[in-house]
Amino acid sequence: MFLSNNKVLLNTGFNKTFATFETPDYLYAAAILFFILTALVVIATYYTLQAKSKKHNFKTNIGQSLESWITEVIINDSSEDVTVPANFQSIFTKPEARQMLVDELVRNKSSFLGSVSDNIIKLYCQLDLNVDSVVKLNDHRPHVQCQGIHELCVMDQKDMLRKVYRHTNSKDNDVRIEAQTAIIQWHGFKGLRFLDVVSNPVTEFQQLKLLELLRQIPFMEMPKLNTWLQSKNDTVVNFALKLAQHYKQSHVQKEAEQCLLHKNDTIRLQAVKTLAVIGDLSTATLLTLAYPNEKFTNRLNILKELLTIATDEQRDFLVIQLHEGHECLKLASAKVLAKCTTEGMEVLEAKAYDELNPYQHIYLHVKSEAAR
Amino acid sequence: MKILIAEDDSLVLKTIELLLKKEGYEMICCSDGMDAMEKIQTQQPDLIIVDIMLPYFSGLEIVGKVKQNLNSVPIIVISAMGQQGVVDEAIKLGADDYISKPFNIKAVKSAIQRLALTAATA
Repeated sequence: MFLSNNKVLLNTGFNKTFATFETPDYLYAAAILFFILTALVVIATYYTLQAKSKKHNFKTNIGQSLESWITEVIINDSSEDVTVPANFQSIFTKPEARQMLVDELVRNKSSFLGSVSDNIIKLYCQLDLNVDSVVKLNDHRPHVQCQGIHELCVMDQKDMLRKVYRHTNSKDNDVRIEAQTAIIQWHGFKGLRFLDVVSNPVTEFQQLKLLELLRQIPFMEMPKLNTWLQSKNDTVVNFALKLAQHYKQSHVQKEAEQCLLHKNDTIRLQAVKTLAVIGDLSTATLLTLAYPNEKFTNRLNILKELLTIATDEQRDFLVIQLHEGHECLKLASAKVLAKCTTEGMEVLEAKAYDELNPYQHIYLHVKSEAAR
Repeated sequence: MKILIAEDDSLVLKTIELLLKKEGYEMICCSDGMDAMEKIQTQQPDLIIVDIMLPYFSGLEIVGKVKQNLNSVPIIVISAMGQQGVVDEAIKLGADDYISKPFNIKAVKSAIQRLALTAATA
């Protein structure tokens, strides 16, 4: 009853309000407003398309002649300065034309080495395009900053190191990546010094990218590696562990061992992988000591790494693990036992006879793997 | 000597064209695989330089087809750094040499001279 009364009241209110707006004055005003709005949208669309088409025409018109001019300049053997043709002089005052030129040069620079590449850099500097790139570094938009750093990096403007360097700890992820990449491309392993101060994360993607970049550069000692392993920035510690692993830096073994006690799971996981490469005879025992405090993933990881470094000394530990935890861990322990300890396979066989499930499956699995 | 070059990057194409023209070679330029296939048949070049990544027909397809029909024409493939697998495939298909990007123009010239010499003595 109450509900239906309310519905009636609402309906009446709505009808009254609607009736007010139904008067000719209101409808007339609404029609005019609608007309004005439509006209504004049409005008805005027209001007946007006009501007786009103007930009496109400009690019098409100068594109061909610009390309021919650049080609002639960059294959030129003479050491004299480049003379800009009269028809380009006025064009090169326009920011979009200058950007087009930079884009063409950057694109071409990546395809050539030797004299052609040198000429591209010469042209870039002579037309003060490097100044344009530096201006971009101070832009508030991150993508523009990235563009500026990329241009300076490709054009080998190493004297801009200071200006680019401050972006290695930028709050923006992309800017940081671009700046760190540029520094490594210019200075190789020495460029890694940004790890001393970087407080923002070095993402997993960036770590992979940097390792790939470093792979193409001749190796140089990393005297600060032990400091990076004690950094307050967890991603720096993780990356330093990866560097120690890839470049077999056994002199930081002690610092890497400390990372086994780190509060961050990812770091402990990486520390196990690193120690398996740079460790000594005591490493396997150390990993078995860390094992009870670890979570499932890192336990599995430890067993996986033990597969390459375990000896008879770990036999008792492995036999205990055969009886404890998840079946995946039992299988992983069985694999290490069979591969790294004397008569490990016999231990598994005896276990399979004593207790059919799951040890017979585990034994057959390990046996078939060993036969491969 | 007539050299056909197929490369989709117009600036790179133009640069190589001008550099080799300066060396006295006659150049035929194509920016895609279809154009390259047509010009190979109609203009019969003495040497072919082909980028692996081309629109319509890839560099590998061109190498395969050319070596089936005109086995004696030497081919140089252009590959990007780190495409060793593709380069190996091109060599298997019959490519005679390869140049990696970014390339030094001196390396291009010496590869051409080497192949021209081999073709002349064969």
